[in-house]
Amino acid sequence: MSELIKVCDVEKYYGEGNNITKAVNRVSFSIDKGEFVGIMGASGSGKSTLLNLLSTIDHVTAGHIYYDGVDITELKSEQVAQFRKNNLGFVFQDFNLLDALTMEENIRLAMTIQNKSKQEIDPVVNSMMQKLGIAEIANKFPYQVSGGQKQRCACARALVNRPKLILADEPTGALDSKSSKMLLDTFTLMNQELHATILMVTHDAFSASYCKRILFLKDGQIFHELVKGEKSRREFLNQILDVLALTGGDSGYAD
Amino acid sequence: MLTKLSLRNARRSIKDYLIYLITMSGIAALMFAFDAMICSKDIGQMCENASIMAVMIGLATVFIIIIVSWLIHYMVRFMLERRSKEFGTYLILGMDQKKVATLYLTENLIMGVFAFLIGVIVGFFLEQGLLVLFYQLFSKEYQLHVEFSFVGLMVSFVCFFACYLKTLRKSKKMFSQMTISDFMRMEKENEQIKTGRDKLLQILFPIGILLLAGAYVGVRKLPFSFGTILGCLALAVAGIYCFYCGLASLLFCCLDRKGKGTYKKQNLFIWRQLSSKLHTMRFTMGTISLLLCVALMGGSIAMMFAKYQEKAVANVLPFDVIMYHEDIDYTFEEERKIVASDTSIAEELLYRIYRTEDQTMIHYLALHNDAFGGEYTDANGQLDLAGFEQNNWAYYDYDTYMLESDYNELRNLLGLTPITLGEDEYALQVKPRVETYLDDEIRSNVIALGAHKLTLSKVYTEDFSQNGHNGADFVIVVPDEVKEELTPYYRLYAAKLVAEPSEQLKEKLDQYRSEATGQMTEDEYMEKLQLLMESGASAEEIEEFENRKQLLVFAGISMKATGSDQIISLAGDILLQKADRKETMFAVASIIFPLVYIGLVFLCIALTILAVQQLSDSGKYRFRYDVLRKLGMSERQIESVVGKQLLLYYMIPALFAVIISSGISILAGNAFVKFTGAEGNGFYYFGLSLLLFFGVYVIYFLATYVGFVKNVRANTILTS
Repeated sequence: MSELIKVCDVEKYYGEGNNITKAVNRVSFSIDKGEFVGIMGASGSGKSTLLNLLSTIDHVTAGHIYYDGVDITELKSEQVAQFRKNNLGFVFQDFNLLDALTMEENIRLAMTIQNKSKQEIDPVVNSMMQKLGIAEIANKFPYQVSGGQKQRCACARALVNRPKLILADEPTGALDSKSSKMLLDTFTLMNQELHATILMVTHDAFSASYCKRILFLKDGQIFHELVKGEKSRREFLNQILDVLALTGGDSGYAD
Repeated sequence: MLTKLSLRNARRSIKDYLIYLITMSGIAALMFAFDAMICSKDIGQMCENASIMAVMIGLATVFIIIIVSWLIHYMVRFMLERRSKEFGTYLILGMDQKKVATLYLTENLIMGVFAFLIGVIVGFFLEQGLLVLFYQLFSKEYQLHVEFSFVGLMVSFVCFFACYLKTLRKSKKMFSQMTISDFMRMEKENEQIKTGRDKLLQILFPIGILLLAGAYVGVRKLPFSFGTILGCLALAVAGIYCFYCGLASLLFCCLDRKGKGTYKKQNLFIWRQLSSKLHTMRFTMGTISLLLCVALMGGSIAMMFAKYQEKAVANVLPFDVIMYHEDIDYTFEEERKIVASDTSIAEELLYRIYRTEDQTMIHYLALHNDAFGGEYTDANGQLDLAGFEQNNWAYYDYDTYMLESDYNELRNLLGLTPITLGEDEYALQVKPRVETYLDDEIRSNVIALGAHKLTLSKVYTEDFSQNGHNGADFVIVVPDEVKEELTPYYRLYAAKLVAEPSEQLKEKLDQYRSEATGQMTEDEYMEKLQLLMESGASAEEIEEFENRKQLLVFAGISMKATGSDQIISLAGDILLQKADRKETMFAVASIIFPLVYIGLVFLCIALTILAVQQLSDSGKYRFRYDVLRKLGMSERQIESVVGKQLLLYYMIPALFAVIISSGISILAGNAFVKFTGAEGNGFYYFGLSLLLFFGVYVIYFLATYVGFVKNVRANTILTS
């Protein structure tokens, strides 16, 4: 598979003077097209910061991030907005749906912003809602549906424009275990059938076990990498838990 | 889709910030009502100097624009913070930053237009109400008629949207400088409380109180000057902000100490809520208190003037016509002809005021009249005679006398019962205010006139035109028998008219007087001053000329004393009840109307911020109250907690503002009574203003309480 993202020596510092926090410290890795990569780490390990850098929400202090050979750290703010619009899809922990719009309208909005016509939008939105199992609640407002449904709507919204990369920040963080599993199945479906490249940040080993590859962050640096390969999900989960036990990352699973 | 979105957003904002919208509509209504009123032809026709009112309203509008801009800025920022994540989402979905900014600001503008439209409709009726009130002030019947003032509409439109334009431009700039991560973080940042410096900041609490006390003492004790006022004002403003910063920190530290009271009933919950709220909005609280102070003080001053026009005008203008001339044999022939040509005279009296060489009364009053504020008292508490003689503007050089027969004729003219003096008696006719200064010493004063030794029979305080006509502040009424012992001082003419004179009578009389005496008219004066300045006259010469104006030309006054009224002093050689009453009422109304206008707007703005803060937090609080519910609190208990929380939150700035403004208002009110001779005292005016203030306060409080309880009630659906 061809390389989609290349992260080179990226650093992100906060604070000034003597009070500098290195949130991300000289991180390098790459992601291929069609991959489902997870980033794991304890709270404060820099995983969300890294995601924000990759998603152009935040700026790097040093280093470069290439998408298909384009260095996004060198883009001007208008170009960045354009880049984001054309290449990225987002799924957040707390859904970030617009409560003034219905579920369907929330998905549509992502396409209307790109000035697509109604004829173009209708079939895409309808089939996406069918695929993710939210067609029945199309006309409901976010406050009228469950967390899992909201998150699937957010996934649909992230997918409709066929982005090169979907960035998910703790997508199961606000969901119960059943909804989490459904969502992760959706992610797998998105990855395998719709060929979406997904980068997911999580501190939950169960969620991470759905990924094909996991990068472990500690104190802003990558200290380990796991590849699922031919292993079953259960085996992969055990492997993840072993790594976490080693670092004391998520003690709940290590015990 | 975007239009749909912005419309739905605007609709939601209107629902969420209904109180803000109502306040903005109210402000627009007031703006339109006042602007339309000053532009109204009726008012213009009624009074020649309607421009004074226009200037005063204009001045008030400037302050209002500044504060309304602040409110809009505050609200735009506040809503932006509340919705920051939503804006971040727009950006992440690929919407252009400029587009998001335009979307948001358009939403605000839509709300503004909506508020303005409602405001104009309400304002139209309000204007009619104001006109009725205005006409009532002048005891005239107002014929309700529909006249929509387009000029007024344009003026208020420009003023109202000037507030918006200024703020929205600023907000657009702020918007464009923010990044997605700022938006995503903003909401969380609100909840952060920096607690590190609280121990240190507690010291600001006593410092604030000290500063406020300093300002109060400064106002009371320091000599009155522009510098003093500015200094005290600066102290008070600094004091208010220090007080809140300190209070927030103090409360925080007190709760941290976990004293006994902390854990009583629901105290912990309520105080923690309050302390965190104060912590995050200490500066806003300071500003709210300042606004409330201004509103309360404005109200008090308006009440003072309202009371003044009720009483003091009547005091100075009991006669339909009263005229002064320094020539003791003057017959007022021409003036009477002018009056008679305008309307018929029912009764008239030509009489004199007399004097002796005696100065007992004026010296007594120079020492005891509070209006002078001890100006003529020396270090030993005695009269500073030299200072008094040099600076005296209030009293004639000698005590003034009036004959009993003249006095009774005048009383007759006013419809009062005549008095009877014993052979060796005299009476005192004084202004009501002056009576309070008369102690036993002066009441037992014996006036020796030739062989007669007169003692005081009674003090009369009826309205008697005592700003230089029937004496200045006082006149001694003596039996006609002692006339030979008195020296004629000046001549007066008083009359009762059959019907109301025309509007032009006063003008005609003034015109005649200025021609006859060679006094300059206003235009002539300005012309001569211009010539003098161009001719390169020295500063002293110009000053002397300007002083001449104040003494002679300005109000057509040639009399040597005008009584001790200050702030508003109604004096003149010729006083015509109808015309002068109108002029004074107009001057007073020019003060009252803008003050009420400012007071109301400031009050509503402060209360809107309090209400909006609480109501928009109630969504967040719902979770907290849910926890309380799960901990076993009943709905009633929760409602009581909400009530207590809101009451505390509303009371803190109100109490603080009441304490500060009461100090100043009561002081000012007492001074006002002292200087103008109006009735009542400072506390009375402040009380009236406070009553109005709490009326509006209660409305906002109840609206917030009802909304809050609705929002935190168990079966409310939580929005995502």
